[in-house]
Amino acid sequence: MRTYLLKRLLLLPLTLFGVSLITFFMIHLAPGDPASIKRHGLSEGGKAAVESMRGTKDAVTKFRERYGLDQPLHVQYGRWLGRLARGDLGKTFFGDRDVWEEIKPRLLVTASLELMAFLLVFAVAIPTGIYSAWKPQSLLDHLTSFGMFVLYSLPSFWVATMLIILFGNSEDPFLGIALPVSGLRDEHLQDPTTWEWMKDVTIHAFLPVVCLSYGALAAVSRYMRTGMLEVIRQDYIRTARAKGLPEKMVILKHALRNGLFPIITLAASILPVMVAGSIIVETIFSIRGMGWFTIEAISLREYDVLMTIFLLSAVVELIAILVADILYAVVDPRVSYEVAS
Amino acid sequence: MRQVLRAALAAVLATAGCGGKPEPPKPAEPAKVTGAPPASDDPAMKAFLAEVAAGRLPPVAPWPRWPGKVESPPFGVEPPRDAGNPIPHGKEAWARPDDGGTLIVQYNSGPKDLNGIISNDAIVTYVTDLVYPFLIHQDPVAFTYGRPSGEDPAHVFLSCRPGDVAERFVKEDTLVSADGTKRFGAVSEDGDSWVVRPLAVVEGEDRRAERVPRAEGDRVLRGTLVTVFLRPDVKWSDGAPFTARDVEFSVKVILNGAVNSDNIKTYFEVADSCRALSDSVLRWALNKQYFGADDTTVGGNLKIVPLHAYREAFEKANPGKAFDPSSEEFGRFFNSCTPLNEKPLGTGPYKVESFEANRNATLVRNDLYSGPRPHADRIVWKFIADPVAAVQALKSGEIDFVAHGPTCEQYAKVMKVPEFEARFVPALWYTPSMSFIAYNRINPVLSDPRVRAALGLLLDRPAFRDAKHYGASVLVSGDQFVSGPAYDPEVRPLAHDPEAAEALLDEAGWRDRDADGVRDRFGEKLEFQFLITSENKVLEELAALWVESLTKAGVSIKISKMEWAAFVKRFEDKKFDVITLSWAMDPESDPHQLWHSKWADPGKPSSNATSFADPRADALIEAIQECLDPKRRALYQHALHRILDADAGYTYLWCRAEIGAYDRRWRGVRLYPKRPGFDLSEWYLPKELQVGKP
Repeated sequence: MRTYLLKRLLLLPLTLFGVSLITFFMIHLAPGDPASIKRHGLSEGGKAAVESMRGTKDAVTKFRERYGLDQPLHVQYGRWLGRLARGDLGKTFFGDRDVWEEIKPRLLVTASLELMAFLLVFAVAIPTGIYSAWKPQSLLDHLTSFGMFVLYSLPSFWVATMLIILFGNSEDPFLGIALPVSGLRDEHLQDPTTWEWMKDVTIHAFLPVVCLSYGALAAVSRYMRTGMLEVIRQDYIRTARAKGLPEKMVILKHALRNGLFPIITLAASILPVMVAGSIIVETIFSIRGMGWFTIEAISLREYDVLMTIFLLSAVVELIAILVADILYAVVDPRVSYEVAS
Repeated sequence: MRQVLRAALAAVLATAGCGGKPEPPKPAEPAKVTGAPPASDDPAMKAFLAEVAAGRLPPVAPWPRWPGKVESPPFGVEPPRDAGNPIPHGKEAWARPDDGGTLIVQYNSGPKDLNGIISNDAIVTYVTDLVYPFLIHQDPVAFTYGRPSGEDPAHVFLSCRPGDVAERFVKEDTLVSADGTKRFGAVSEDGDSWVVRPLAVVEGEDRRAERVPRAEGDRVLRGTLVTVFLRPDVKWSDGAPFTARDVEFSVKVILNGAVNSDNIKTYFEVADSCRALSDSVLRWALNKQYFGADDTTVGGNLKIVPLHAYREAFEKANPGKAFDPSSEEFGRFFNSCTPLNEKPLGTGPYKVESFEANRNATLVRNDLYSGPRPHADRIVWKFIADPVAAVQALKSGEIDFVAHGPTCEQYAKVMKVPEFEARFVPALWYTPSMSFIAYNRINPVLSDPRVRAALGLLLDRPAFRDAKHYGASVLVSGDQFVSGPAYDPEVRPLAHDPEAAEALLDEAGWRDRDADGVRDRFGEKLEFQFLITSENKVLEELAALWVESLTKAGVSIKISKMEWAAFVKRFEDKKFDVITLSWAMDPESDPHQLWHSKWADPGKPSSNATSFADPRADALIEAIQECLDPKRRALYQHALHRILDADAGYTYLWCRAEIGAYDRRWRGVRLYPKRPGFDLSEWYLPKELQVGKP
């Protein structure tokens, strides 16, 4: 195991180099130009300011020279690698700000929301999946399956909008529950206590977290059900029952560990979302997280920002896969990464 | 009808040098650019300009016109206060403004910082309009700067707003002699001499009145020496005195090559220098006579930042280094000076209390403001992108004013209903903007104005406006603001007339010779690509409507959607056939960038995206830039409007209204044509309604 881990860790930088190379060239070869965006600003429904058109050619040339965009791509990549080696992630074209300082607060927001969604999903989906597998074809299993399929098929933008309409109207809210529909904090709350702060963040985050989690909840519970069903049919489970073990112990101690395999794989693929965020939910609820930031960076062609975000996502993905591999071995001792002699 | 149309059209097109029998398409030649003498120096163009100045404009092109009533929004008239929000009976005290309350305003995009020099986001201007110093505020109704003084109305202008940093400014002329000598003052003619009368002579200056023989004087440049006299009592929000050196410093910063101010640098091309003659006197020397110079010398193009604060911050961050606003080092520092870029100092009615990029900005009343006290204690800008969320936030009391983002459909179906209007006032106002479809004449298929006009006649804009804008737009026929002085109301919007369109296409030689449903000519199909941005769903619907009409008329069109960054690049590089976009502009725009042949070269990126080039237009544009007489300039603008209309290089669509809504409790609301359309310092909350808000 130790050797395997070492090999994987040594391969990490090589993999990241490949990712960065491909990402760099893809970003730069995409049509569009940050100099043009700087001139015209972001689209407001396709509207540009005609005043911004003055001196277009000179301003564009100066902009490109200032940021080295007039150099060949391989030179630009080399410069970027050099800066990365020095720990410099670059600066934004718009505002000349340090990229990492811009990403940090947004990463915190997205990671917090996604963590809450992650916990909600697994807290609900795993027991639901276990129960469905334990009592297959029961009324509750059918109702749960139907409910999960409906949830999975609802588009997130529709759900978010409906939640806003139902719970955002303080005059006549649905079920009498009025919830805030934008941001994560109440700006009027001055010097809140820890409890007031937690309460404020919870009620603001409630609707966005529901939007972020319902789709994954449906998927995870179905995977859990499928995984458990496969394990429950195994001979050793029949043997455990035949030995007279309580049903609870058979399911939760003997079956669950092996049934977790697909869940571990799913969890590894969900983790990078903590970096990527969700543009739809963040836009509709006016939350300035990583999803929004990434889309904005793409619109503005903020090359250094995009490289940092994609590299970060790659690192998280690779670490998540490594952790998943380790957990497979922990959950099932039969799994071994040692080369057979 | 067809024959009358053909005859009239032939006459117009003959004047324009085209029309007649169709010939095989020739590859388009690049337009001649740069290096050519000004078109207005050509004797023929001089004669043409004289005709226009005498009121004899080119005829309006005989395209079929929409017969409906063009309801131009009011312009030059003080808007009513609290329109749609009458004072309830028994609450007459609400007519008197009270101080207090927090006004929470929504906008659909948030800025990264509040530095108007390095940011070209509109929202930065809207937020900092109440913070930054203005030498002279532009009148939001008449769009003028100051009022002419009684003693010398042509040269001396007085501030008419107590919050202005300047109390007056004086515009003197420059008499340029043949040998290059310049004399400054009010220049007038007296027999065979020029009389130069200096007006704003400051201490230490040696300028005297003199007579110059006419033969010696080469030309007079009006209004090219501007002296601004500041009020003595103005302070920055940190208590430091505001001086002319702050303005001089700001101009140096803007022109610093290392500062990210490219979007406003070009406004200062008209200035040779800006110097502080003392703490309270500033002088501009301009290199040409330009009708829009006031925007730069005393108006909103001039973003003023505090010298003392930036010096202190620079010296603290770079101990031992010399402070030079023109240096590259300072330029880089300025771009990234976060504390001052996020909480800029100002002299306005409000100062920045807090700022979170893309999230919110809070302004609090500035007690050091020298003008009339604003009413709201605090203004909070909240950035909510989704229009549904914005309206819900209004309904739930999270915000007081939805300022940007709601759609026309929301206005008609969500806002203009009794339940909504019981608590809120739906607001609709017009600021200068215009949507259009542009045709790239480099494509031989689109090189004939008859074809371009025909394509425009096939678009049912009136019906689309009624169905999708619910009446919240005005059809237009030109690129200037529909209510502004540069727009010729005699040029009515194009009609929707498929019959006339097909006649024009037949006339231009496009017929379906091979019966495949698509018109052709000399083996070439009448087909093109229509490029739209994926940001705007309404444009997609417009495109779908147009496709239907075009297909029936035998025109093949392929719609191509593109993301904004790539879309803008294609537009600038002129790599499109047909494209649609909107402009946001001033009430009277300088047409140079859009229409002068200097920018027409198809190989060079520019805003003259259709590669338009016409010597008459060039002459008019050069004359417009130099003309300081608003009435004569309006004639030039109208003539240009007619030439562009006849060329049909654009199909002009509409000027869409801005849509918002605000809580009825707020009063003192006026909606202006000057962007953003409102002045939040005027809004107030009656005392008895100031409950439940901090």
